[in-house]
Amino acid sequence: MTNSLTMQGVTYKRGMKTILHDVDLTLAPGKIVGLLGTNGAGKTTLMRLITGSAKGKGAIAVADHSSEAERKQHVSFSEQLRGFAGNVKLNRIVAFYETIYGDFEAERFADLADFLQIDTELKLAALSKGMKEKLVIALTLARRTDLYLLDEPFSGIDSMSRKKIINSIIQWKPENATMVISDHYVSEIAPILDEIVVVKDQTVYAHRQADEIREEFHIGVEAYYESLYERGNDHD
Amino acid sequence: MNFDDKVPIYYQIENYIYHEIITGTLKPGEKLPSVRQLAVDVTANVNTVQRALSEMIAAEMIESKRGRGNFVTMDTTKIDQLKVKLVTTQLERVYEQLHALNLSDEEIVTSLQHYIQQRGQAK
Amino acid sequence: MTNFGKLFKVFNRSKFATVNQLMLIELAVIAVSLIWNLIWGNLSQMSVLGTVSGWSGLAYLVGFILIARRAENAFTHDTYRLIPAKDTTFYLANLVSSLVMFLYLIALQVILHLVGIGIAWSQISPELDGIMRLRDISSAELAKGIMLVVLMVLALFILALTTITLIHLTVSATNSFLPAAGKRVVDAILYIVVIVLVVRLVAFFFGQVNQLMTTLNLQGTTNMVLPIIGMLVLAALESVLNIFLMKRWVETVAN
Repeated sequence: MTNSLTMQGVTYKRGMKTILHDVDLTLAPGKIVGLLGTNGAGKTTLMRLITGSAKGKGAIAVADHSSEAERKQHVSFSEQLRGFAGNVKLNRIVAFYETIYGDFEAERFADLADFLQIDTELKLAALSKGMKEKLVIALTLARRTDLYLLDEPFSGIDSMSRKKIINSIIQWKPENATMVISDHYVSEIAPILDEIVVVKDQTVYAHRQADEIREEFHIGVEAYYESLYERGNDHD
Repeated sequence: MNFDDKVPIYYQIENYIYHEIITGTLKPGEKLPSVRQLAVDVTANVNTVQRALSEMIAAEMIESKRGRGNFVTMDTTKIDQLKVKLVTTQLERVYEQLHALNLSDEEIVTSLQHYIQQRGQAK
Repeated sequence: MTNFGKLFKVFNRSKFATVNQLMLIELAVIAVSLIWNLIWGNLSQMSVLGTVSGWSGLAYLVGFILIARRAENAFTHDTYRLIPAKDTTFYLANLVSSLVMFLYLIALQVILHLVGIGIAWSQISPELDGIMRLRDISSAELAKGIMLVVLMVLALFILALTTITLIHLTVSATNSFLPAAGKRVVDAILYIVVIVLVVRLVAFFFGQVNQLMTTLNLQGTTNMVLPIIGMLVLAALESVLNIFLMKRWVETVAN
């Protein structure tokens, strides 16, 4: 089966400053991957490079599609709806998604909205942070595609909403799709991860199976992640 | 379900389901929930649940019927064996830890008896 | 992939709402002006036409700014830029939708004027006849003249849009990739180019309109064809540059 994501020699600079360099990353289909790193390590940039929102150098392919326009077709990114005015009603946003994404399934969205208790009669500006994040998750997962990128879906969210979001991820991720979840706080998502990718020193510093870490080192994913920073050397 | 992050998740799921079988929550021959449902129930990844089930199928504790799902084995001797095995594992751990405290076998037995008596009174 | 039609539809939606809001405000302002006239006893048959003419210039200007703002918003926001479409399709759909929405704004203004003319008709029709006879202008020639002015306005509108986009995308690209010193140089050059461009175009446009208004010499309007073509060619060149910038340099606002 084709890989969900391949990145080869991807480098990104901004105003002469290197943000990411020589990123090589391959993700198999059907996985849930934790993208870990400190704030400002480049997790969001990595996702933005995949969607084409940030312009870097190197080869990126999503489900074997390398042109930017086609990549967008195969990626669903947790976009924060900044392009909408605050007074827009949620059902208008849903209609927008339905128009522009051929793989957006209204029924899937209705189920997700029901599960996450989203009221689509509300206006965008009226949503709390947690509610907005739930809406973003529902819109992102309502598309049926190959690669899902969730950028810090749990930041500033209460534990009840967090559980609901984690549950909807498990329930609605298509079997062969791969999902990347970025987070700087690992423990809350550790049990649902197949793999972790650590962004450190402006590159992909480590990429490992979660259960392999537990079996090999008898430590948790979080402890492993922290050990990368304490010792500064790899476990390999 | 609360997982111990240090122990492989698939292993913890395996133990969780074994526990359900031994205590009779899952009866011999009973159908298990779908993989996705199990994943939601325990809040784990579908792949991890699948791996746990594969291990249990390999151990013949669970039978996979094509297109119909997974079923707890009908073989009650297997379940009994499993129970013995899990009890042994627990005892092993207690035994070794008490031994590490320089208790003799007799002392271990008496302290266990004493403990159980106390627990009985406490109830 | 999302096709042109669907892109056009979503680009229209936001701009359509904006234009409608503007129209509501304009109608309210016109109403207030008329009431003002009524209070001061200045209300006449010509009042509606006069008020509409007075305010519609501002409505065009504000409408243009609002449409351009919505169009530019799309270039740098993931909400739009993540739409699976080629940059060329994206750009053209956005531009065409801006144009169509501006035409919609013009149509609304024309309707307002027609209402005003309808009310004032008995007063202005003899005057109009007089002018036409005096200058020896046929209605066909008048139509042609109006057509040319409309085309001129549209060409100017397109050029203004592509220029705004060019400036916006250039600034956006240099902000992402040039160090601070380089940014300042590019900004300075842009300021000069923009000021020169705006002054030249506005002077040219008003020159043309002025000539038309004062002399009503419609023969002179044939001179307008060449500049219209020139503006459209320039707009096309800018568009090619814009699409190139989009493809290679222009990033969206971070999530």
